[in-house]
Amino acid sequence: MDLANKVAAMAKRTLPVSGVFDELIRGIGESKSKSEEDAIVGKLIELSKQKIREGRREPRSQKELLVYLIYIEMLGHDTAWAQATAIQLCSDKNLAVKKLAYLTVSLLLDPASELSIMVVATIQADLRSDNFLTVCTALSAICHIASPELVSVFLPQVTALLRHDRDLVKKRALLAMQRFIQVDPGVAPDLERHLIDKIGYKEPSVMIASLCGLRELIRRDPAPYRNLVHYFTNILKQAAEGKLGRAYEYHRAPAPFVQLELLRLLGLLGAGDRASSENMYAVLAEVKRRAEPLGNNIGNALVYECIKTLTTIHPSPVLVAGAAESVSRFLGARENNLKYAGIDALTRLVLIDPKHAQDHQLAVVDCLRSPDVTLKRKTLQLLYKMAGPSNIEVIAAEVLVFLREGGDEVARGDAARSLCDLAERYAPDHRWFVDTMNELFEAAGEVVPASLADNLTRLIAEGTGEEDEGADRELRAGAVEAYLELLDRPKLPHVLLKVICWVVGEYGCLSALSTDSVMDKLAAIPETQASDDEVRGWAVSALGKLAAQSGRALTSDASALVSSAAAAESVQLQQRALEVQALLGMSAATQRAALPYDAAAEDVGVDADLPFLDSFVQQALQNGAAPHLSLDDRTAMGMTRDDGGGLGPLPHASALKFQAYATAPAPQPRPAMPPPAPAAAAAAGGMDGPSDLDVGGLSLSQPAGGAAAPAPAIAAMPAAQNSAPAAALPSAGGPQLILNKPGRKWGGPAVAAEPSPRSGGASSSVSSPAQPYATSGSASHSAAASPSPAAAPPPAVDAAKQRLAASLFGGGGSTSTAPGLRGRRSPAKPAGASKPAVAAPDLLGGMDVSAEAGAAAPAGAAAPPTASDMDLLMGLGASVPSTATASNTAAPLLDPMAALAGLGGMQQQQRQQQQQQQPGLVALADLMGNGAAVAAGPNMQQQAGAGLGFGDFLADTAPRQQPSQQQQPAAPLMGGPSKAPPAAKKDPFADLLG
Amino acid sequence: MLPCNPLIAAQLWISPDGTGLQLLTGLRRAGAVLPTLVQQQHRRIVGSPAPMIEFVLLVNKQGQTRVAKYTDSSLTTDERRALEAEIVRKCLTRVDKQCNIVEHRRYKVVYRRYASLFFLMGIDAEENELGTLEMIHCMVETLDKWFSNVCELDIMFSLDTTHHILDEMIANGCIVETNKGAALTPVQLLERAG
Repeated sequence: MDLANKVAAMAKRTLPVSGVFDELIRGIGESKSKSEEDAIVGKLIELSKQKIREGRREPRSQKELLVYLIYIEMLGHDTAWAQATAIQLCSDKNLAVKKLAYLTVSLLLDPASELSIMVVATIQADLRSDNFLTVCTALSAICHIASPELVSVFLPQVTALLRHDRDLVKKRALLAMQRFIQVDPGVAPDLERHLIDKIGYKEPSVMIASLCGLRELIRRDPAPYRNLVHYFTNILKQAAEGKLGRAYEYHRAPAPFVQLELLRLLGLLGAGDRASSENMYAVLAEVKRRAEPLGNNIGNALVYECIKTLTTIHPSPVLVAGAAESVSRFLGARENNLKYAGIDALTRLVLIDPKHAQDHQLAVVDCLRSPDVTLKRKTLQLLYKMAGPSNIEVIAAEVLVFLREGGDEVARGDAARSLCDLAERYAPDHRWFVDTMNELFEAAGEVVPASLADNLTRLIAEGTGEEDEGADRELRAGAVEAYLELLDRPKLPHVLLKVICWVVGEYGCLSALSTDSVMDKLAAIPETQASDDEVRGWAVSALGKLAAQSGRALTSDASALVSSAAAAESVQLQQRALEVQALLGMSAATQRAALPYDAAAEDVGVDADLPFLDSFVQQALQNGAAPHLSLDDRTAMGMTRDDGGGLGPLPHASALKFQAYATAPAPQPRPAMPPPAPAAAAAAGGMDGPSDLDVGGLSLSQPAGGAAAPAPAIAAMPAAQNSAPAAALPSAGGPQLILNKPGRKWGGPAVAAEPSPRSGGASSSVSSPAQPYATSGSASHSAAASPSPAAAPPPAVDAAKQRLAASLFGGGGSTSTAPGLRGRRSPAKPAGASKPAVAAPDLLGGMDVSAEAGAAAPAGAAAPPTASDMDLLMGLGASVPSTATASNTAAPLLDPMAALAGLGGMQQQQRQQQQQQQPGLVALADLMGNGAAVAAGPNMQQQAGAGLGFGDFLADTAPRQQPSQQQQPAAPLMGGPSKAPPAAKKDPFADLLG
Repeated sequence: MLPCNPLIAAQLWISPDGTGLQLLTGLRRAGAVLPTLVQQQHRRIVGSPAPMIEFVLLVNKQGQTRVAKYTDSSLTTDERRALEAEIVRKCLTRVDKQCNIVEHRRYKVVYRRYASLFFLMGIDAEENELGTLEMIHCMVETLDKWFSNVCELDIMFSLDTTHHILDEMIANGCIVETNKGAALTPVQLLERAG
């Protein structure tokens, strides 16, 4: 084993080795499993503790101890017990031990740890040392342990050391300064001068250290340092000419890492500044000219960095043209590293001028088909930048292919988000959007944001935003058909099931199938798909809606599902099922009133003053009831606690266990609610806080609450219904489809930035790609379907690839050049394979949108406002008049649909009154909370029970404790007798109401 | 709790010759709760832009870490171990033809394999991937110059020296020395002094 001998000899040379040390390190190297390794680490720990106890002072023993500690830490074990010893050894007289101790401390200690302060005194002493090596050691230690508090402690000494005679010390001092700026940017003004002073220093390593420090400053704010450009260009020129000396040469390139650093600095300084940029052009061209012939990795790295720089600064047409040539060289290379750099560089070039993508269509498609995930991901990022109305279908198809392949969660999440963003911006029509989103949910349901499902349901509920009922109907019917078909497939992701249940429940009657078979399909969901309580709840709600709207009874399967849900353990699910059962037992008129067809996007007016109850209240008062006191009054009178826990000094309050239920989490993800208005809070006052109104996912008609979102925002005044666009407020919540504005369907920021987004030109370019979709879509499908891309591509694949390329790259260039370019790029392929005819329909307007975005970017302009920003602005603007109109009463934060569902039993009420009734519940709750014994009729009590109980207590998802009471959901919550007579079920709140 | 300034406390407690610490260690051994700065608020280092080189790792193909240097101090020991294991697993699945860049969590990792040993560098979005790849090779050449024909065991037996050499070449997340002679000089001087 000469290797082992050599190693042993080497080890002896660098470290005085004891037999034990040798054996242990070797053991670590040879250990094959984690347990073996842990056993050795255990020995190391034992040995180290023994050494610490002995406290031997000879250097060899101390160094061994420190190396053990590094190993113990590196292999993932705790070293807190030895940190003090390591700190102590920093003040050892032996320089080697000191250096090693500093190293150990830097590895063992978190810089934020208090213990690092203990090294401060030692470092300060070492900085004063006569031995420059000790000083260097201390300076490097500063880099590791510096924290914001310590900067001012070290700063004077470090600054003074810049005048040390040794270059090594100067360099280390500059690096310590860089660290200071990193941890505490506030010191930058003090250090700036010292760093600039050293740019021209004759010793390259000192100069490089000053560049590192300056980079920290320039990264934070380049503007004050633009006058340094000519220094940097000078140094860069010298470095490129090899004037830093042969020692800095690496693989025939002169000081390449210094060049890279300077190129980056120039990029930072030239961005958005034309004058500085122009001063760089000459030297950039020179660096690139010298790097190109090297032909090796480092040469390519330099060229790549040049491209990065010249695409960051104000562009020079000549340089950009040169960069485009280098990009073709990279993309044509065999090595994937170069292709990666090529794609990245191309992404940058496309931002300057989209035409560059034209020249590399096939190469880009190749990278897209590569089995190398890194390369593929990078290429997708290029496609996102290239996306426009003309190629969105193809790009979306590509992203979906990537998502179906599986892989990294982060990568899939990014891709899914980007696809959502692009689809919302460039979707040619609603139908396409719905289809794409369905596919996205199916391919990557676990990584898509939940808000997307809400967007989709809202889109379907609100329709096209134009007053075209026929188109809306078609869209919905199409969606319903698609979803019913999807249900035949196994294992759909949750988020998709949610959307399906909602849409089929809401619009199931549009299906070509009979309502009964639609119901059966819904009822089968828990069996064929997931069967957890959430999904069953969605299905039950959907069935309820479907039955109520169509006026038909549940099918036997469906009613079996509902009854089983009514006996479920989950209180929430049980709640839903019982509501559905109760509602379906009522007259058809009530059912339709409670769950009207296609009303998810309708406004619901709410009058928080509840005038319709006036006579009732009056009567109660005449019968001797105590008058209502507002929450403020009660608080003032000391009748109510402010902690939101109880309903005031009710004698039986504790029996109701309000505390436990009040703190339970909301049972379901819900759309963002608008902030509570003061009036609403007051209206809700009786319930001790708005959280009590949080009826969560209990709404009978809403599985997702997506389309319900608009409703809560509607102000109480009927006038507001007309003036406030639905969803004006909720749209502020998150990324949105731009659907609310009549007359405008789609459009990205670039399109929206045009002075007249609704002009004929824009709308035609948006709507026309619908037809090309058929051809390009099929092209991409055939390309996607082609087998292993790694295999030698038969001509058919080439044809598919070219078609894909054609549909991807679409327009931008003139149609006459496109086929020619393709021909040139693929001389080996059969000429007939390229089919410009397929590409032709796609070519319209191709890159227009990205062209505008690209033109804006290099000018240093901020990114154009995103679609959601625009939407937010418009939404907020629209909401102003509505709140102004609803001057005296703001909307209570009830989910109106839930409230309506709760009111299902009120047969005698008129339809328009129903809309006003939900605050009635609030008022009732308020009254009850007040402890006022209102002598309400049994009917009213039942309503109150439905409203209050369903809306509040039953929202809790806490599992039921007593299975024997499953038929009496309210009983345990009421704290009533466990064997309540059946009568109590009818009127469970009698207790509460006294 | 000492009512005084932590810095003064540190200076009081630790004289440069370490006698103060002796006392401290003794106290700690005796199980005393140190009345030091334990209650000090834990403050994270706040460098606004992340450093360009986040970490340098040497990991063998069994996934055992041989050298680990992090510029980014926000990770705990356990998080680091997990990160190292995940990255190596990812790198091992890649074939030679594929590019030497792996995106993992928020890091872009450039790796290069030398026999059984992976050299990995985690970089931010600004850093040049091709340049980083060459920087790894430059480090290996420098190690090679020092150890003459470096191998995994060399690094294991001279872990401290390896750390020292890497520290000379990369500091504060930046490449600070690529002149092999200049990088090795301080190491040599220190060896002689020791």
